[in-house]
Amino acid sequence: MATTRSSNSGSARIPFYRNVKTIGLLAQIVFVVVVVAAMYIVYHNVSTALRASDIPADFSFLGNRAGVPIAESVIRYSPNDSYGRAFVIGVLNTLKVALVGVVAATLLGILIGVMRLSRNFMLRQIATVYVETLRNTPLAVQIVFWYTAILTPLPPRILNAVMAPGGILLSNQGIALPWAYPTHHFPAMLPVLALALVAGLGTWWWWRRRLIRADRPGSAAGPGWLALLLVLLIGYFAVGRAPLPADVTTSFRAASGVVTAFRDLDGNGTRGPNEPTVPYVKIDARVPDGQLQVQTQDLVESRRLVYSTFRFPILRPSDAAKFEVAFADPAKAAAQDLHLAFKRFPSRGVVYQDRNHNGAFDAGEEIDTAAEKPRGFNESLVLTATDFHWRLVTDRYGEARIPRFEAEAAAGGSVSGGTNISPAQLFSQPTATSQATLKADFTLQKVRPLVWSVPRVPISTYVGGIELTTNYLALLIALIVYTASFMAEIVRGGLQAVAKGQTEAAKALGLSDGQTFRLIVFPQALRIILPPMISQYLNLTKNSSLAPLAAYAELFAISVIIANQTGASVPVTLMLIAAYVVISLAFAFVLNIVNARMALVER
Amino acid sequence: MSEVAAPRGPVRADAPDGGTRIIEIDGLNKWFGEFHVLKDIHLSVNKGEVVVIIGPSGSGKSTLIRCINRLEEHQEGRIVVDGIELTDDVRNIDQVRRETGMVFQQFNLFPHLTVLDNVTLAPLRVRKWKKAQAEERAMYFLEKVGIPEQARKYPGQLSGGQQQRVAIARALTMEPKVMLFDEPTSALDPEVIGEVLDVMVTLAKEGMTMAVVTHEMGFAREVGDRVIFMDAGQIVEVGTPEHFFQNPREERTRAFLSKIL
Amino acid sequence: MEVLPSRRPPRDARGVRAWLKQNLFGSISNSIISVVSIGLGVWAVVGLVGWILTSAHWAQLWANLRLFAVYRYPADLLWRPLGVVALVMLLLGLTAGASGRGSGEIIRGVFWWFFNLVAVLTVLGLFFWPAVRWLWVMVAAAGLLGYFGGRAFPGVMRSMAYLWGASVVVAVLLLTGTGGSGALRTVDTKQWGGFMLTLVLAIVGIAVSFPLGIALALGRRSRLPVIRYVSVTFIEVIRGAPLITWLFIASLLVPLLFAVSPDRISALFRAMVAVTVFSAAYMAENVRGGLQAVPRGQNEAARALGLSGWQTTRLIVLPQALRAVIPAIVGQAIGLFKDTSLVFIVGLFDFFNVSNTVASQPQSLLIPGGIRLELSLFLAAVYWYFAYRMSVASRQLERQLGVGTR
Ligand SMILES: Nc1ncnc2c1ncn2[C@@H]1O[C@H](COP(=O)(O)OP(=O)(O)OP(=O)(O)O)[C@@H](O)[C@H]1O
Ligand SMILES: [Mg+2]
Repeated sequence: MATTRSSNSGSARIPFYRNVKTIGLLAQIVFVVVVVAAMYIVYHNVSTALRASDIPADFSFLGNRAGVPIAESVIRYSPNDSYGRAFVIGVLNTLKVALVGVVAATLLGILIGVMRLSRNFMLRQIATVYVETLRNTPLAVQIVFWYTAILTPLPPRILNAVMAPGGILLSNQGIALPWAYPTHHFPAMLPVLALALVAGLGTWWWWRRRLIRADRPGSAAGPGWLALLLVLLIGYFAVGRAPLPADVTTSFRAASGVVTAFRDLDGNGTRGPNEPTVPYVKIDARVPDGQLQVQTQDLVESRRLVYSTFRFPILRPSDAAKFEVAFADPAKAAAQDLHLAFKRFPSRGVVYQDRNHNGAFDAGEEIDTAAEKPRGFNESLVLTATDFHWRLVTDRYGEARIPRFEAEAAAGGSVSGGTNISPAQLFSQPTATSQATLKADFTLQKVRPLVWSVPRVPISTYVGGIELTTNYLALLIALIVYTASFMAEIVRGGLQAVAKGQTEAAKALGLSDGQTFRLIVFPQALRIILPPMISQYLNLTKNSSLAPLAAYAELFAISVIIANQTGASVPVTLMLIAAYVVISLAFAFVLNIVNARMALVER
Repeated sequence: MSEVAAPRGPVRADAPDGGTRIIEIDGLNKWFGEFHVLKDIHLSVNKGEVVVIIGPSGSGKSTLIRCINRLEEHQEGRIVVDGIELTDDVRNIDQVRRETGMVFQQFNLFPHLTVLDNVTLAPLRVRKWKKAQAEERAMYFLEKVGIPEQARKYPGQLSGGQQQRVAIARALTMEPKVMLFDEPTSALDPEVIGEVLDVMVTLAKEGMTMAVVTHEMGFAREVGDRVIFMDAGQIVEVGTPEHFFQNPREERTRAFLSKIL
Repeated sequence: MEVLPSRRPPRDARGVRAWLKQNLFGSISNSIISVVSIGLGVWAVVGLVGWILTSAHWAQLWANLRLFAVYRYPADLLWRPLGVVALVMLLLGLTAGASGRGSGEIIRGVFWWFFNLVAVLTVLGLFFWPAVRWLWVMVAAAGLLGYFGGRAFPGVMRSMAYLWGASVVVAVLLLTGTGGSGALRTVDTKQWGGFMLTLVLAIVGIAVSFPLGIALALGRRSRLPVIRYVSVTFIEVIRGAPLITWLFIASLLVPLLFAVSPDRISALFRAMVAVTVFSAAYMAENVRGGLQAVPRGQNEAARALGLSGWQTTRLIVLPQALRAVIPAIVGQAIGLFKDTSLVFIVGLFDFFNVSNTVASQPQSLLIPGGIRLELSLFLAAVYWYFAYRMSVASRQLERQLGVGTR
């Protein structure tokens, strides 16, 4: 390029502190020097402080045994695992609460947002109250509210779980729902899935062509879905049940009541370290008839002492009929004017005194130990079990649990030695006095591609189905409810921003209210709604770090534990920041794509 | 298709001899990235002269005028304003800006300041005048543009024509040696264009040096000393208004004039 | 031709009937929704009010009000925090009384809102809180004094900025004390807490993060790449992780940073550092939004007048940018006010964390079912009241600003 006379030819004569170009450079150099100096001071101070104390300053501690129990984890974890694994479980638990939260909050947010614009006065008011109260209250308060004020006061022990319709169990430990799991037979469904997809798409395409040919309005999506579902359903039953591989057997540890399904590769009948377990196996467990002497025990329910009351973990009506309870010594009971009221389902038994002689238990007729007898009122009862059999489904670790009956009881004798066995304990801790093994028969069942696992409470925890702990639920509900209040405002704003003329134009074209919303208003509003929604998704994810308030072990809570245990504050801090920044960047990335797309659509 | 006159070297828009040169632009070239906006501009303006720059949209008129007070940085050539060359020297840039006033198409009044504050801001902060002096001068110029009664209002409360007159007063209060106008009437409703043009005509007749980008041919005819026609970043033709509007030399000029007249 | 007289609309197109038809019983489905939701609403409200009035245990909460207000701030020194409140009321009153029309309306609104609150507390104090009875009267009196003083001498408006500045110093000295063992003895920040601490954290957070945020925002928009990148990195990293992690990190690292033993830096200071830095990053993004909203022409016009770059930023760009983002900043203040509840993680007993203390007191545990529900509702109500009032004020402000400038 011919640079004959450049305006900058004179720059040599300009002192550097007056030259626009060099001023900028100079400012940046000064800035860099200041920043670097500050960072050096930080580094220097931190590293001297670290050297002075013997706080670990590198990441080598990650391989050490963590020793911390984590109540729930997506992948298997025991305190023997490393800190590194504990951290990973934290990340997974964060994702578990964030992903579910994001979906649910979106749905709730849209619902409330649309309600705010409803033509119905009441719906409008309810939505307004919802938004104005929830978004102006700290999330911390809301989490504590759900955790300590709502969920923890539920029936306190798993044994007392509330049974909701549909096999749902609810207690202060959390909620358990029936759930379908894929079995070893599931791969047989893959061709069916492919076929269903082809059938669905084919039908859709064919139906669309027919519509176009006939020049009729309508949608081809319905028939497409129908075909897909039909093929799936037929395929599912056509695939049928498959027996388990021949080498699958069960082993039972009576001490814990755990039955494990595993592949007995060496054929010795016990599970060796290299023999894999088989998840989601259906097992029939049958226990011979027997009797057991047990004693009543005072229970604490909802922080209230309930006198001389007992419960059984019989959580299906069909199980209820298989138990019978009677006084061990009816004559003695009669002499004391003691009566037994036993409701099979949900099981609840009371030893009472029929003070008004009506032959039935009324409120106030409990034996009030505080008033009448010294604490620890016990009355011997005999529990009879007949034809007791359970259908178990092993969990993802190939394990299932049954209540531990004591051996003699199962064998038909009666246990008199169990001095202090309460009905509750019968199904939980081993007693000191009788240490026997349960005799039970286990039969492996053929399975379909999916197995329906129903939760039950054989011991002290839920087994089967899918379990959501109180901690998880409290955090999740609070996050959903709180974030939805912000989302509702975004949705409302977006919908209101779509010009009124658009609705009118759509109506003038003859579209119905629903069509107007679905085809005209919503797509346009989406463009305005989506970007702020994505930042709400990010907020929800970041807010999940309030988990310590609900004692839920996610990324932040676990990091705090690790930092406190190891003292490795600097490395843990760095990992924590890095994890969150990566999550945030991922969201920012998605947001950018969405924004670019939206800008494209705009044109 | 008429033949486009082959460039016979750049057209020089030199001011007539005998005057004092207040703006001298010599071999000015400017690029926006790869795009060559101004090509070899030679232009000088005498003290008291009114130069009107016309040309099709995108021809580089605004860019040229904005180079004169360094709102745009040029890459080649020399720009000298009142004896000060525009280089990378901050002091020179500041001096030139102090001596030139500029009026924008979009007024660019400061909406958070009253009219009076808009007008006195630069005298107070740049010229370091006393407040009383600044306000006295401000009121003088507001009177001159005909809106002294609006001094306490905010720009948002004025009409477009009034706003543009405030903008002129704001530039004048700095007592500049040169006034630059970039399409001062293009954003105005037709019925208020007149009031702004009147102010500009008065100013021109009082001997202010002005460089005006405008599409108002009436203004060019009435007070313009020279008219410069630009196209595609070049000066295509220069001449007095009479010459220009009666028998332009260049085909491109004629085509342009036939479209707008 | 005869002019037809106007008639009133038919009966079901006007008045209550029209309203009912339009809003509740327009169609069958609408009517069902209305009936169900009215039923649910009545059930919920009756249930809640019934519970609040009959079964809830408020005594334990009422007995702990002082913990909720100031935590363990010495009982004989309560005049100091309340003195700060009185000082603020005095200055707010002065400002409200002395400021003119326009933006003065907003300040007056804020003042009267605060004053009503103070009045309610004063009345409560007169009846129930003998220890602070006269202190509340003092606060209320200070407010009135300020307001009418301001009305009488509007001239004080000129020195208001200095008065506010001085009051900050006085407030800090009053709260911390100056030493010795008398009335002005030092109160360790470990004893601070309750709503007082919540306010201190929120106010310090917003006030200090304001200039920091502006600096970061300007840095992010600088044309000098190094400054820009450093600012962007700082802002994005801080915003990337949640506040609770920064609080936790500050509690671990601030002592290391200053190379002193951990117990020489109070938990309060660490929390303030975290809250302020975090707030500054968000403030920067808000301010950046405002900067982007200022048209380029403003900058050019200022430069063409000969103003320097810094003058242009300070006199032209920033005033417009900040005005545009006042609602966003109020929103951020509301968020920060709510977020101060996270300082439990560094062991501070702010308003929220005091409730955990109260819940685990032996007397609370004796109450069947505990008092968690009562506490949650109380906390929610107090936080809500302040946050909601702020958001209402912000909306008013937005409307007034919209009218004022354009
Ligand atoms: N900042 C910029 N970056 C890149 N290109 C620019 C910039 N400013 C202007 N241009 C381009 O430079 C050319 C000249 O622009 P300029 O504004 O000077 O034209 P103009 O003659 O004033 O036109 P109009 O009459 O429309 O105002 C145009 O093609 C424009 O697109
Ligand atoms: Mg232009």
